[in-house]
Amino acid sequence: MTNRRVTRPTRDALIAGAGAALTLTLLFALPVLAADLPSLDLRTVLANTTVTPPGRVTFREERHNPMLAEPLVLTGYLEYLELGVLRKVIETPFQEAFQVDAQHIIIERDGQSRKLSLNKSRSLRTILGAIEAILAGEADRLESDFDYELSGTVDSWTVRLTPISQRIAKQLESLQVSGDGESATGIRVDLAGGEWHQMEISRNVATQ
Amino acid sequence: MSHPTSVLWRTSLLWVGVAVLAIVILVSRLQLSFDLSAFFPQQTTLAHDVLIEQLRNGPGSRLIVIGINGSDPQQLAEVSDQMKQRLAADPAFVAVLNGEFDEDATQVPEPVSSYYLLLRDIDYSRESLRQALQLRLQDLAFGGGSALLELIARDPFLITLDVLQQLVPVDMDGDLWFSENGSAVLMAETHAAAIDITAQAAAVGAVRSAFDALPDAEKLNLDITGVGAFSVELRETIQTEATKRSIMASAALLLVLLVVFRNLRMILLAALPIGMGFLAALALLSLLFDTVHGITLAFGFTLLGVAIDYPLHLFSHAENDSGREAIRRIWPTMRLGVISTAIAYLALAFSGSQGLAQLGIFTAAGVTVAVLATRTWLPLLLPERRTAQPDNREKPLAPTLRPAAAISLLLLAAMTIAYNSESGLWDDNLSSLSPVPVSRLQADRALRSAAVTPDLRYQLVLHDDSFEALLQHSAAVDDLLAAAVENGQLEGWRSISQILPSEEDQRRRQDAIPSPDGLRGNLDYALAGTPFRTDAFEPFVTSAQAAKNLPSLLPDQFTDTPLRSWLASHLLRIDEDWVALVSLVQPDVGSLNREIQSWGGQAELVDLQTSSMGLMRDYRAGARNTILIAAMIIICLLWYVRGQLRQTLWIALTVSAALATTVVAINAVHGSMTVIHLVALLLVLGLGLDYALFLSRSESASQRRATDKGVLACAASTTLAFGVLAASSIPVLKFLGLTVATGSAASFLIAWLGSRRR
Repeated sequence: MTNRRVTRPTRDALIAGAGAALTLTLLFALPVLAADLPSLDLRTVLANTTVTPPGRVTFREERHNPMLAEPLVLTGYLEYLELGVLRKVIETPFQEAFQVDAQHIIIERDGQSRKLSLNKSRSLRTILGAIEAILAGEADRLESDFDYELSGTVDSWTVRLTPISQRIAKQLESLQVSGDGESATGIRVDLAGGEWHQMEISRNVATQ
Repeated sequence: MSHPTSVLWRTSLLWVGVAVLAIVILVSRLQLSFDLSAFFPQQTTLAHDVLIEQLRNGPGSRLIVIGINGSDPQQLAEVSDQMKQRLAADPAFVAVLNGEFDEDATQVPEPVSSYYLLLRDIDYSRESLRQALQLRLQDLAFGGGSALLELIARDPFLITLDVLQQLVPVDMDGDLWFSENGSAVLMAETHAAAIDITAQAAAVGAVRSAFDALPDAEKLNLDITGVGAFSVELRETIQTEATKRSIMASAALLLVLLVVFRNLRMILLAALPIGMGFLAALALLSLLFDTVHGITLAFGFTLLGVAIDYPLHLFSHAENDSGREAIRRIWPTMRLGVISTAIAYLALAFSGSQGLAQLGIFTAAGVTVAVLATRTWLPLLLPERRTAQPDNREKPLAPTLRPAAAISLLLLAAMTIAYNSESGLWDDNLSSLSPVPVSRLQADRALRSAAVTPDLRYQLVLHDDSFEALLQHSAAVDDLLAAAVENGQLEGWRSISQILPSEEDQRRRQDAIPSPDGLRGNLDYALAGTPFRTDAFEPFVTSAQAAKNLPSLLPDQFTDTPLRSWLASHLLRIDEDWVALVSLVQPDVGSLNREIQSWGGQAELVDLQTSSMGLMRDYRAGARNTILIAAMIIICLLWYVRGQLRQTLWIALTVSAALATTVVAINAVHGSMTVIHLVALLLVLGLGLDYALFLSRSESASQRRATDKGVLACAASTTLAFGVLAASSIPVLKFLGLTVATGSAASFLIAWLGSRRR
């Protein structure tokens, strides 16, 4: 028998791994993509980024994977509570919430909450770094971690981000955000192994 | 007086024969060991057994802690990752951790991968499956990735993850480990136990090679700590120290001999008894013990300071006389001194640790052989001198023995000791004896602080002579601990039965697994109304059927797996008993202990720290009693041989005053005393007796001059030689060195000042 290493994924970590990253990506990407895109230039996109909490949008998300005969459909809302603090609340088909700040993610399920370190993995940190870059309007920082591709028109655009790191690419194939002249309307995440998630964001942004 | 050449030849031949025999024994039998725990006291209770086993083989002891600094955190993170990848590929390591979760490796180790369904009670009913699938959907709403999907398909109850959580040697939260001084920290768990120095040296070598292969290695600093790494360092230190100290002490001795006797031939001759004592004592040890400890060998040099006394007394008295006449005259005193010294040294043999027992036997045998060589061989080798007739005609006079100085010193020292005893006369920390320098231990602590290592201080100990009964017992304790967790008395625990259930439990769990059709039927019910594919859990059905037909899981099946070290640190074989150690996570010790008391002797809560201090206290009390008994025997012997109560009392007072002064000196320099200091005081006792015996002899004026010169030479050489030891970096040697050097000087001064010559 070969000396295989003991792998040590804790239950929370394994589940939280890529999932937390993607949830955060979706949350953070939102305000950026609501900005106008007069021309399809990343720096212009980032330059127009202004985000002022608090804010709330509703979503409908489909999660596809090889275990599912039909997609798992989630609905709920996303909240931008204060600078750096975001929350995703699932209302159907069950109730669950995730809240993230700079250091941690808190998972609320069945009336109990678990707090996990956000630095679950190198890939997660890289993705979050990218999100911070988008929020801060730092195109250079974004370009250091992702290849990106802008397509469409100002009224119907898509930006496709693919990780440069081979290691991260093993888990995350791409992140694709689309929108119209007013805001982002959808985010698609493609994971390795034929798994993908598509989130549709409601245009009705409700301010609390 | 002349002696026939044939006597010289016969005696020389005999001693050369002894030396050759000793060398033959040494070459064929001498096995050196560097297992420091040989110097810990022999265990007396189960808790002490567990303590020693934990020190030798506990989970914490197999971690090599690696710290890398010299760059910015970002580059160090890269370096940490590269080191982790390289070392993980090395079969010497069970696991290499740097704080991050391994994103790429998701393999579940055997035998957990095959036996996971037999490790927990599982309810395969429709409702239970339905609940589990709902929870897995919630997991999929948050997480994803092929590893999670494969795991869920095979294990919808996620039992594998529960089991794996029991195996983590350190708590990780996913953050890369950085110590407070900014070093990136990795922990590599070795397969080999910490006491397997050869394997540990190879593991440390592998870490160094991996580091040297880093692109910017020359700009970075590497530090390696941990029990195993320290043992490797120590082996080098002991070898270097032994060599260095031996050379320095020999130089010191040479100096004293040259100053006192100004005769090169005598210096060479003085080495003969010591050499014979060393060879014969070491040969005796290798016959009596399987291995001779490295520190015992380093101690061989201790003998230099003690056994040099005998030729020095002889040389001093032979300056105006023939060697044979001189030895005949001083032999009664020398013999009494050696017997007293040997009694004191032999007390070490009963001190309760194998390492110290070796030292005691080695020293006692060494001085005995050395004094025999001095008595029988050395006088024949000394240059012939015309007997100084006038000296022989002088009437022997007894010196005036004045105990005032000794009594005053004794009282003063006793008061100081009494005053100090409140602030801690004794240091019972086992770690004080550790030969690892404090700075290295601090470095280790600093690196370890980067990660949350589990509290190993408290362990629950269960034992039984039947392995199956122990596992059943452990499972019962698991239930009690689960209740204790509910009551908030602890956060969690890790026990053998959680990963290796009793055969009875395994069979019961196999019986509980439904047939494939039955399980599929229950799954169909649970899957209804969920988005899962109807065949999504077919891997679970296959796995359940395989588990139903598995032979029982036994300890042997862990042997070739990464989990063998986990098993070894939670399951011990002590004598005829199987012992299970349950580690506790954040126990509320007071309330948990009360709870455990109410279980009716099911388990014993062991506090390793209290246990280790208790061990040292018992050890010290034992050593103190041994010393007292040795002292009483010696006093009785003196009184019997010398037949003078006043002289015997003077000797006892002088030696006691020297011992008490030494204790005060130790307290001033080293702080609290360890059991090693106590043992060193035994040597001081032997030396003090030697000086006091010679200085209280009735003899002529010229003989007295020879005695003074001889005792001064002895005290100077012993003080110097042990002074060299006092500067050693090995605490055991340092403690001995200071104690004996101080004691030797004090013994001489007090005896010399208290014996006014007429």
